[in-house]
Amino acid sequence: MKKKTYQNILYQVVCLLVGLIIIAPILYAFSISFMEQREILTKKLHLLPNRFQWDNYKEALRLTHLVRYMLNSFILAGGSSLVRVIVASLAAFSFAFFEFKGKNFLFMLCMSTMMIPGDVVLITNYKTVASLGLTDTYFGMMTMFLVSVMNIFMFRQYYLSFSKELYEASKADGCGNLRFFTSILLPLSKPVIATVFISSFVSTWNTYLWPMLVTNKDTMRTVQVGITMLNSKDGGTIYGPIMAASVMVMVPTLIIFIVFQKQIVGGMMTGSVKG
Amino acid sequence: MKRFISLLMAAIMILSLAACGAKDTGEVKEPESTETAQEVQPEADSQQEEAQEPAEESKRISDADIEISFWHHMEGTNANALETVCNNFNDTVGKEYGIIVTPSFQGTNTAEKLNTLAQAGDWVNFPDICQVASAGIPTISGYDLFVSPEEMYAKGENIILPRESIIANNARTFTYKDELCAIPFSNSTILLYYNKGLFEAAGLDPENPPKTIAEMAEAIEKLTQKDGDEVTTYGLNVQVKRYQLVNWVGGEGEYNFIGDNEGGRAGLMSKVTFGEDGTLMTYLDEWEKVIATGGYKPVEDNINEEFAMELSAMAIMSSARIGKLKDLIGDEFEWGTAPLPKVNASDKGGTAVGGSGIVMFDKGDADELTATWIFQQYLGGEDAQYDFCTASGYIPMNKDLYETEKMKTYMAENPEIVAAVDQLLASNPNVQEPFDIVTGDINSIIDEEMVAFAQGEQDKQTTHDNIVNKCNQKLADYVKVNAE
Repeated sequence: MKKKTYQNILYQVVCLLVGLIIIAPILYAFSISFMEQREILTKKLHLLPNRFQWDNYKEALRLTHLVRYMLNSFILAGGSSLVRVIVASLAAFSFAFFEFKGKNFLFMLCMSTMMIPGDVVLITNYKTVASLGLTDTYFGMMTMFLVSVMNIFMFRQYYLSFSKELYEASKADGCGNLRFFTSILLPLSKPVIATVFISSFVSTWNTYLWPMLVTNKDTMRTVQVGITMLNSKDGGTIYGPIMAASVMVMVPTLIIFIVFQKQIVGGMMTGSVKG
Repeated sequence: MKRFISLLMAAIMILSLAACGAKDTGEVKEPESTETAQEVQPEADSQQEEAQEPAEESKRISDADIEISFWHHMEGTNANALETVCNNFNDTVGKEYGIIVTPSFQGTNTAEKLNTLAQAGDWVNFPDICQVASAGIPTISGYDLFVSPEEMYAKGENIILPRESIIANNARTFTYKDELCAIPFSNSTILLYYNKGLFEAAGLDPENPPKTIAEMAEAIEKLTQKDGDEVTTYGLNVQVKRYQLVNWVGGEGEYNFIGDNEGGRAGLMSKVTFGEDGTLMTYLDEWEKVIATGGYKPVEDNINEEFAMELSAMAIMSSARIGKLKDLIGDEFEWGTAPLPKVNASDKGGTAVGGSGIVMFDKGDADELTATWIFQQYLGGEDAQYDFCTASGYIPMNKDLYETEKMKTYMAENPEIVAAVDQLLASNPNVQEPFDIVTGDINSIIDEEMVAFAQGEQDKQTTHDNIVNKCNQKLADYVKVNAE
């Protein structure tokens, strides 16, 4: 018993240390965002600001239209993540629950696209989007992120562990596929929905190259471009405003994570099938 | 079911809002909306004035204002300086001619973005005018829409920036196959930055910085401070990459082209020549003395900041960093700039012009082309160059500007820039960064080999051979695929 307690304490301490190591750069960035330039550039280790001042935040907002860029990123990440969840959940539903000719071939075909690096098809994709007249539009920015095979795979794997008896029982009770999908399957898939939405939101929020390529107007830029605009190859790095902008940019992704965190943690399958 | 339908409806609404919103947003041009408001009134006023004074001829290109899209790669404070220049144009020359310029940031490599659009055949979304680094000129000059300033000067119409006003060195930077392909804009030169306080403390004359690499090596030995085995202040910090190496080798003797076909300016560069003519080895012979001092830091972590914190007594950087260093150092200590130390005392070549120029494109509208040409020249004019360079730290490329009182006053108040200007004007125009096409690859090769040499991982001959062979291999690969 005593041995087990020690093991638990050790386990907790290790977890705490790993957590601290992971969060340390973020906390340091937060701290730098309140420091003056001369405090940042000291020879000695300087972890906390001498006093809290908001100049770096004001400077970041003065140098770029960060609020506008955040709105653009929010529309891009929010819109494409929502569509991803809808498309991936429906596609996975057919792969997991239906039997049809060529199902495995189709699934493998989808999976094989994961082996094609995004950069290879960048120009082709741009050509398509440009010829559709979608440059400088939110939809043009989103097109690349509307479908993710990885997300389809995640949904499918989750559905495969779903009780087939439940599906058959509902069918026996006269429940159609769409009704089963919306009333039974989706409510019980909250963890995977949350996981897909968060991962999709964060990755799209952090994307740089595609939105940069497909938009030409400053008003259509995203947050990652905004942070780059604070940097200067010849003028050096203004750490304070860059960290302030990074902290501001991080807030929406944190909110999304906090909102969906409960859904990820909760095990939804328990008790859904009664013997 | 209800929940699903509401979810679906919400998704459709967001998408439709996003798509429609984008169209709307696309048409909203923040800088222009205010400009247009300002434009309307003076236009009405000018019409009244015209009625009263019919003798005064209007310079307007067309009845409606012509909108020019300007792509740039300026960030931070430099972007603000550029925006000010564009606003000034819109308020003055632009108003006279009926031109409205909208600048927009397009990432740090505009040439790459142009290239992507060109590969996709998307000429419609090309800008009217674009800021590009000199390395991108050979590729850009091949685009169907490209129009060179040389052609425009030959036509002799609407000239507001005389060709002779452009300093020969700067013009040469953007010349490809004897044709001026861009108007130089944000230009700089490589300099030695040194800490005068540390020079004095080490018994060196702060008004007489090293003139050659050998002298610099001697200074490094005196300037390096150690705490036991640990160096607390390095004598010199510089990471020798393509930019630094071509400046040193290019300045050897009268001048050195670095590669064949005049370093790619007379045609496609297919090999480096600094191996066969011995100039690279001459440089490495001298550089070995710097490495031997033990006080040289061959990797740049934060070169500006480390110099500002007196972690290095000397640093070799672009003159475009003068403004930044002034901000960082303030009144903490005295510092100065000096010409790049030569490889041999007898070298006369000088250094290359770094930075970017402005290229223009013909999108099929004659009025738009005229408007673009006027703006392109404006950016090289005295007012724009003064405003931009004094706010950013770049060196003006307009010869006439140096004769003006305001520039003389600025240079007297900012002695650090004098070394940069003097060096640029004294350099041979043939000393330039080569048009080596595979610039990124060559930069990586030189960087890796020189760091390995400095850290004692390989000897001089290996470094020399690796740089020459690897660069030639990359160039040969490019030529093999793209010669036609």
